[in-house]
Amino acid sequence: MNLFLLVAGVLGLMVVRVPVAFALLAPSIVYVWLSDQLTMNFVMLRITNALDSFPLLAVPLFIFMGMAANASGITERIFNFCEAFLGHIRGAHGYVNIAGSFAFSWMSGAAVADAAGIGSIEVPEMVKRGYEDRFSVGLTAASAVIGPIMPPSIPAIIYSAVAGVSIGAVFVAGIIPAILITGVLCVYVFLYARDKPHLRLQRATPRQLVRASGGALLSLLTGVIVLGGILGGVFTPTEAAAIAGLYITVLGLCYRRMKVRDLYRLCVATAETTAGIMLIVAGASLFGWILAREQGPQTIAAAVTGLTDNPIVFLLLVNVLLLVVGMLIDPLSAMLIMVPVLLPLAIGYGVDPLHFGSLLILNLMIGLLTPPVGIVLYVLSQVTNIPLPRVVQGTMPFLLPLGVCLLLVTFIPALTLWLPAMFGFR
Amino acid sequence: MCGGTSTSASVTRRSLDLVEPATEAPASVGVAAIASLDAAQALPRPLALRLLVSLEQLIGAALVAALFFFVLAQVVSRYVFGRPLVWSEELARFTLVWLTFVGAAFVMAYRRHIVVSFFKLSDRAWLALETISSVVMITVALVVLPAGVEFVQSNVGVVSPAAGVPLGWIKASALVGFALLAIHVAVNLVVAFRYGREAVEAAGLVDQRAST
Repeated sequence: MNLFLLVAGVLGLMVVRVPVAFALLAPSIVYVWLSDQLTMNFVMLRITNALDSFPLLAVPLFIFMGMAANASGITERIFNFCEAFLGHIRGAHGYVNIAGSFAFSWMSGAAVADAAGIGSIEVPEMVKRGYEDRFSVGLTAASAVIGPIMPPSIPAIIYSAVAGVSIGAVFVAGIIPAILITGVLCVYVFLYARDKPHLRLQRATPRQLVRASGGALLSLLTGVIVLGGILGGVFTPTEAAAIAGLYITVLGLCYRRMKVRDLYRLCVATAETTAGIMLIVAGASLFGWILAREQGPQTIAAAVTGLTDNPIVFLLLVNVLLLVVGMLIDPLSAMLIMVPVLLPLAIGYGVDPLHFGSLLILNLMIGLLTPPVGIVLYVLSQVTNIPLPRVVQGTMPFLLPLGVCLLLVTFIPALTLWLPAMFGFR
Repeated sequence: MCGGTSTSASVTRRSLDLVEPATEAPASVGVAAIASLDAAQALPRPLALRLLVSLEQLIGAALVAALFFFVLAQVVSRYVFGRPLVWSEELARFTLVWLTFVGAAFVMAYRRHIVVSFFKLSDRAWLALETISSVVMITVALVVLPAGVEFVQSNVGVVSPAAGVPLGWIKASALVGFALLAIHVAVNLVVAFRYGREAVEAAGLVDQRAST
């Protein structure tokens, strides 16, 4: 009963537009207040301890890195690089769009940064070259999903903190799914461009290729620092984030795109985004602790295991549940609320936490592309000036290939587990 | 991801015109996010409050810089000097705790905390929900604050193992954070009643729908 009231309280407060962090805190505080054994001291202890974590430090550092990459013109250099190499293929800018997102995903951990940065460059370019605006914006939305799947990834950091698995392992688990999405989207572009031979540029001259490569080389090195550093065991993900952030800042200053004054603004924006996320982390930590105390996972587990004892059916149910939740709630809040409940269940069904994390993140990222809370859609509509309904229309067809990827990731655990095992993360 | 971007490129532009038409266009999206921060200061509010917000921003930015410094110091000490620092990790973690609460305060001032919007609201319904959620938030802050004072006092004597920082200083972040949050919520509510929804949204003070 308590459990039901708690959950209803959180959802009810969210509906009346209480910010998510407070919607989690308020019912939890009432619970503590009513309890004989707990004191308000405990509330303070819980929320400050939740933030006092070395892995979570990577969140602000990676947020800064993604913003700095956009502000320093690195996004454009990557775009030019991809255009030079892929421009002569039929459906060229479709591939350029995907490749750009893929390259940018090495230095950004959030779909929205990707959509805002890449979308503002690529969508106008594609429309100018004769691609339908709906297709252009839909493809940009779909390829933005690669960003938070490919390491570095903000959702992966949060997941690893909640699930108690190593960030490095969750990062590495995302690499193959990210490549899979890239491949599937390329197939989609191939099919789209089959009967459109005019959608290509002239082959770039060797000179242009060299120029474009030279322009992008130093930017692409960022990905090497992050991935290489983590995979090679040279840095922890947190340290890699700090070093790559510093590196991009220096690049941006050298390219003269960023001024020292912009640095202050980037720091303020980083503080803003970080605080917004971390306050929810703090609230969710208290709420999650209370859920566990009230045996929430066990109660729900009993209900679910009554339904099925088949892990495949269970994962299908989880996917449907997450898709619905992801449509309504932003991914990080959804993850913070759902993981403490679903993960113990999943482990009970013999699902690996890494595998579960990958399908959870991919699932919730797809939720970013669906109304009513599809933030990527809003961002794309704003940066491209294409009306929201058209953005939604354009994005819908891409849910099919992304759904296929989700099913593959869900039912072929090797896609997520093989690479971490190769790199000795287990 | 970046907080401001999602709020509104379009709204931002409009509000920038309102304030100072001469403002140069932001170089890129990453930085555009922050241009709306200036615009938000456009709504007439007491000087003390504006100074408070600017101060919170300054401290937030300084803490981000400090975070970079501590984490980099750790890498440099390990690889360059071959002797890992013992205090850097601890200080970095404490910085994050403070960053969260100071940042949460000015995020509240700009109404950028993540809110789930299920329906389109009429102006009156908006104001009603605004009142409800403000009361909830202020109540949470007021309940937590007295406990916080006690909590900080009980931790002042305890010193962190590596850096030797009194833990009370770290725990005080939540206390300061909730006090500031309560102030901003109250001010936001007064502003909402006095100027109405349109003016609030025109100034770029729009609730964030989500932020990843």
